[in-house]
Amino acid sequence: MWILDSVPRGGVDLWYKDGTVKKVHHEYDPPFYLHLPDPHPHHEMIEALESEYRSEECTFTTIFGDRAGYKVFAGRTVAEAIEQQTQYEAQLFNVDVRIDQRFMAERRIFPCCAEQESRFSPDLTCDLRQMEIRIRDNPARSSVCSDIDVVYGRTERLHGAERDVLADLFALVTSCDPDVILMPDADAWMQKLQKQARACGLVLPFSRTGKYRTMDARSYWSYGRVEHKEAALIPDGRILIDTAQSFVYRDGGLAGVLMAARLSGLSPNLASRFTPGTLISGYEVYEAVTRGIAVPFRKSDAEKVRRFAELRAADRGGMMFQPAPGVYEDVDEIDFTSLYPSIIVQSNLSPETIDHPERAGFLPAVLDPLLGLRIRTKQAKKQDPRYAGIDSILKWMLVTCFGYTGYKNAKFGRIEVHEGITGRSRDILLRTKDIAETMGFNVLHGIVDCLWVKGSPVGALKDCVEQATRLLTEVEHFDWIVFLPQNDGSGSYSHYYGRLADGSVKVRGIAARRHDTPEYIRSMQRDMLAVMSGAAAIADLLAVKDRVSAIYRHAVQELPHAAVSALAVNRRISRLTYAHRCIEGAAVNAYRTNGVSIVPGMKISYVVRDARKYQVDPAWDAGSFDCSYYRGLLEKAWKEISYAFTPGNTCSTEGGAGSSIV
Amino acid sequence: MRIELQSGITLQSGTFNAVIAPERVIISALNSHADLQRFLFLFVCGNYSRILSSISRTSANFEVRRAFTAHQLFTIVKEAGHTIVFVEHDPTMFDGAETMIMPVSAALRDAGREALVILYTPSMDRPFSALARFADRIFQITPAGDPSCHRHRSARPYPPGGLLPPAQTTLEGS
Amino acid sequence: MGRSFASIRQGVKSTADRWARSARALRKEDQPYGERLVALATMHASEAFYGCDDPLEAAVFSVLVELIKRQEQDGRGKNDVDP
Repeated sequence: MWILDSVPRGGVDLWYKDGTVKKVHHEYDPPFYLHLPDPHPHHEMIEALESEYRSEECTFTTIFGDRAGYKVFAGRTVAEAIEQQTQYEAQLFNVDVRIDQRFMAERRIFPCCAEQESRFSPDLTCDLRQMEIRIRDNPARSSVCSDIDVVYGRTERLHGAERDVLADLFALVTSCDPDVILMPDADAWMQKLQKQARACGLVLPFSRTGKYRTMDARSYWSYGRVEHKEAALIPDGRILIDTAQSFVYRDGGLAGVLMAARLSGLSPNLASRFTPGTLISGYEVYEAVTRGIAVPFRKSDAEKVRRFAELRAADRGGMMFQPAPGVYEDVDEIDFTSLYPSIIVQSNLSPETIDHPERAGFLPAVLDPLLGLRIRTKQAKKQDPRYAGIDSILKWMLVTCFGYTGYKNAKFGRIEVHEGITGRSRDILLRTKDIAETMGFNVLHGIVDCLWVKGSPVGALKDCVEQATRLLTEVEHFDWIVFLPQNDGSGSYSHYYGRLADGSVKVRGIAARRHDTPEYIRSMQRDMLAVMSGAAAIADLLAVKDRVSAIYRHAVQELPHAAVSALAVNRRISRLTYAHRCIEGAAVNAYRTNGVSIVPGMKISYVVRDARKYQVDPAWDAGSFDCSYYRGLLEKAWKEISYAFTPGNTCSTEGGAGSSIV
Repeated sequence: MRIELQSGITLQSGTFNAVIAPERVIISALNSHADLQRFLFLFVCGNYSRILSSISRTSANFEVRRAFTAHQLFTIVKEAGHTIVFVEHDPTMFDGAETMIMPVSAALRDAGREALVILYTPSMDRPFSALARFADRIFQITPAGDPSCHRHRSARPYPPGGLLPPAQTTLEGS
Repeated sequence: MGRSFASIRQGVKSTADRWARSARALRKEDQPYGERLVALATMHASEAFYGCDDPLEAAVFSVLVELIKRQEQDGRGKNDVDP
């Protein structure tokens, strides 16, 4: 049975699609688990739990083994009260597992999968009726919508008085009865639409029961940045995807969302609103529940005490080499596929195997099938680009699972596991470098899980590395590659670009790749790289120098006539106050002055009107721009490209540019 | 046992002390103080420490334990059996876990019955102020290095936001 | 990246910055050597990271490797010069 939505409502409602859509209600009232290392001081509390909440003694299983304790048929509030009453001695489990996910996991059922399909199959068949709703008004500035495109087989534009537009929209949704609604900024609009609907005496049609759940707006810390989630209204029985905000949708499309739901055991409505980190965490929780393993409520067990030197030795990240900056010809990049998860599986790394390496670890067992699936989708997408979306989502889930073994919210994470992974990864990269050099290759650069080498035959190197490490690799050939310098002249670790064998240009770290680069500058660099991509060798590259310089001169010349919108800087802000006067701070203030509420993690778009006076306008309100400021940005972007043409930067064999003794 | 952190600031074992001081002052004290090297010392910090990298202690007595969640911090403070327990304040530790501030604060007080407990921050903020509620003494060293404004706590706990400087709304990350 | 300690690269950079400041205090004729020392300190910082946790150790490792290399190259050069 193909499940398209799950809703916790006094039990669990599961929504199935089998030609038609139907809802089945299941009674479900699961307990949470309590373990007290020393129950005696708390016997009164235990008696109270037994009489009030049907609590019973039981044994339950954690990843560390069985525990004697109690099951308590109550919710989170009671769990938190128990924590306080026992001064946090109580260990609680299965308190914050989502009810609908838990229900499905206990029965080994999951969303978005047909009978004959396997959960770990890259194939996804679905027969969902889709509708797109595109509201043209700007949700940040307007609470009224009066201009909507609706696509459902045909496209219809609704335009005019708000009440009529809403009435028409709602009628369309009701009559078309889609299973999936794709709507940019849905989460920003839903609350407003609900309000407007009430004011107009209309009923929101999006939920198939008329009821909605809310997911609150919040900012949260993720990967060194603040992320922001809008408050969402989630309908019952219908998939509503905010296509502008959903990372999963933007990266993997609808197939990506459905696959994420299938793997994590979370409904597509939830899966589309979660980051890859939350999805992999959801996957681990699903797998734990399926195996009868209780999910801890709090992360309270800390790392072991260590001496200063021990900790410093262990607290390290991946291995990085430093390239000698310059332009190189005929270089191969050899990449390990999903290195960190592969290490977890290969080395049996898991919280409970730190002290007991002889046990078969939970994390390796759980990640192994996911890893296998990713390897299959990575292969499959080469023949069929339809798999690219799913492959990308899997890649992100596996990348973040590593981060999650160490970080705050990981249910099954321990720092020592994280350290075990990075330690092994450093050894693996070093071993790979040894093999390459032994085979006569010149190692130009390496970052964590990939190495750039010059030499041949690279196929033999790949085989040798895979045999020695028992890990999978991929090789990409560069006709030429530019490793850029840092300000101090030494090589940059992550700023490079080069032409691949298929004629495309791979770019990292430079303006064209950075999210905040204004479009005018990005497009200048893109045009330059497009010309350079025609060069198959360094000699050809140098031959196009004049054409590329001309692009720069033209961009500088035309700058005063550029459209203001092309000069908008797009940034995600992480803070609301700034220590010193700065452009970004001025931008935040400009937003505030315009009445837009600012939260850390929000994306803002602004144009610099006068850099010296810190005058900045929000992008939608910008009239003029500071030519000299943007000329400066253009020049920086040009320098990243002109480096490739500077005589003396070309490296024919080994060593870097100007590799004379300092 | 007593330790002179800086001229004019003496800390005693069996006390819970809150210290607000510039980083270089505390780093210098931790690195150069002979007395601190003698005792079994536990350094506790969060995810990102601003001072750990600058510590040059090779003494076998210097141990580190990190807390990534407020609950872990609680566990660490409760389990600490060291003579000196130094906790570098992490302002983000209690985001979403404000209910743990009181228990951690009480645990610091309890640990301070036997050990010398130092709760340290380079600048005041609301969580720190709340954590320091049970501190026996609060020291504030100004950037000029002059510890002239050290306050002696009265027998009553501080009122919320009381005598201490107003909390900052954000802390500059490094 | 590691999480609680500054990365070795940052640590070596701080060491190099301190050495650069000290180099400025050298007599004028000695300053170029101080500047060369600073450059040598960061040259092999990334590789030093594999075995060293202490930034100072990594900086010293980097300098010594380069010195040995040049000494050897100079030695070879001398032998080449035939009267």
